[in-house]
Amino acid sequence: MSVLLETVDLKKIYKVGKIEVEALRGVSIRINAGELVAIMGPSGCGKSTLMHLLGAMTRATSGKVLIEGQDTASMSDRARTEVRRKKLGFVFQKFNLLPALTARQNLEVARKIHGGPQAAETDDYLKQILQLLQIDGKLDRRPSELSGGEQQRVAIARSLTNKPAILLADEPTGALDTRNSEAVLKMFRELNSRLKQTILLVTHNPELATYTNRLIEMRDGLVLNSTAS
Amino acid sequence: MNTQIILAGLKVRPVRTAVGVLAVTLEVVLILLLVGLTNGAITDSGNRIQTAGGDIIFMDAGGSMILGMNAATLPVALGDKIAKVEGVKAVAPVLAQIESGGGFTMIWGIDPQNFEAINGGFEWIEGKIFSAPDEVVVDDRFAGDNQLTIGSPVQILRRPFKVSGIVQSGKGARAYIPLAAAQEMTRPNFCTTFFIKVQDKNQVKAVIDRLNAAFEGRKVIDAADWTSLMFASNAPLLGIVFRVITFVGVVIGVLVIFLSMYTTVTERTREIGILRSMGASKSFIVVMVLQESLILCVIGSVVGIGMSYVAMAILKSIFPTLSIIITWDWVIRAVIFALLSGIIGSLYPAFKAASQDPIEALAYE
Repeated sequence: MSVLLETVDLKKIYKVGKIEVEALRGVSIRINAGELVAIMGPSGCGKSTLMHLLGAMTRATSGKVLIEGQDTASMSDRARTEVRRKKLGFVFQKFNLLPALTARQNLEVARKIHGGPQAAETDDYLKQILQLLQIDGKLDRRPSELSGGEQQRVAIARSLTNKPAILLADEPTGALDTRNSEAVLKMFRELNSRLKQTILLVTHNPELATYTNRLIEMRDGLVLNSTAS
Repeated sequence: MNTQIILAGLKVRPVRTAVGVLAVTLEVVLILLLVGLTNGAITDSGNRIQTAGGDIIFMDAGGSMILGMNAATLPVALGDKIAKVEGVKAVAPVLAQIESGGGFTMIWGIDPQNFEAINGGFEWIEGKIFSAPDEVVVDDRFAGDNQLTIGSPVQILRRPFKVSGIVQSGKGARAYIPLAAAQEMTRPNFCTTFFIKVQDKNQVKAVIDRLNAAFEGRKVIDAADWTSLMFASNAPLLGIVFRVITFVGVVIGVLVIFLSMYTTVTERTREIGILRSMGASKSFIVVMVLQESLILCVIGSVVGIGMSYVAMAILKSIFPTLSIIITWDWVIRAVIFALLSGIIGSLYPAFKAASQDPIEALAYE
């Protein structure tokens, strides 16, 4: 399997006033194409910072983040924006749908940003995603008219509109009840097995790890170990 | 165009949208009405002088095109000398004054016999020319404004007069009083202007040349050119007035649009973070904010143009003598200024939104 995403001795230091906080202290990981990987660790271990760096949302203090061989750690804001637009998909804990828009319009806005045709149902790939996520009948509802699980499934569909190389999910079940969490996790597994979508989940929930192929454990800004689940 | 996000944003925040539209409406109404009032006052005054009946207007050298602002510096006896110039048919001395209470009203002191030789006689609605020093002839709009009928008492230049006649409006002054009465209030035996009628309309230019030659240092104007000359002579002042009006309008628009867009950008920090995380470029965000502001301005402009005409109709119904001229070139200018204030007012909020860090924006509650 080819390496899709790799970090090399990745460090991130935040300055809070005069105090420096070392969020990542030299993280090196590899994610192969087609993998479903969970990054797990307690709060404050640096997993969200790692997610932001992998998602090209911020710059590293040192080290490399290679996405399909491109180092995003030292890229300009414009170049990182383009990487996000073309190669990455994001799913957040709080869904982060645009509240004033319907589910369909949320998808259309994403497609507009990604530069594709706006009408969601004209795309066979997206049609397949919508069916898989079981939200094809709920596209005319606003986020406030959807359950948490449904909102998260719309958010997953939105994150896939640009056919990303890798889907990054930050605590995707953190705001869901057990039943909806299971449903969403099963869908991640379906997306991975049926569409070969590479997915990287960040969580502090050990149960979530059982749905993935591999588990990367973090503590205090470092990777403890990486094991097959 | 990011129509969906923009329209949804406008719909979700109706009060903010309404305030933004209202500000632009106010800006457009302010520009159109104030410029319209200024244009109307000058055009109306110019047209009435131009159509008063004289072919030539004779003034002192430094005389203003706003007749009522001139001092009475021309001796009435000068009229006899003007009458002797070849081609002159009749000469009427006029002592023009401006009544400034409740707007500007043109009052002319005239000698009826001379003046009717110039204007061919008044178009009477009722009554007759004054026959006593305390009588006044008013036009129908002045009479309507002040609810005057024949015999009504009226204050003219702070003196009591009685209406002797009402004439058709549109030509000359709003009110005519005896020349002697006007002179008594200013300067006996002097006037501000001579209205001159020529024997042959084709000879106006020639007569003007002769008058210029005979009366060096005076101002001799073809009445047909009066309104355009009036605008030209007042152009520097008008330019300043219009610039001030426009500036005030644009400042109001810029400030309100700025506050409105700054508020919306702050409220939508998280949404902007979401868009940035999906790969929306900074220019995408800037364009989105500018487009939203421009939509407010377009709606405000349309409402503003409509409201200006409504306000004009209301003002004219309350003050029939008021002249407001809203021209298309000023309508276009008002819209351009409104759009401009929308762009200027939303530039900073747009760039502030675009430069937000996506991580911080996503964490915004």
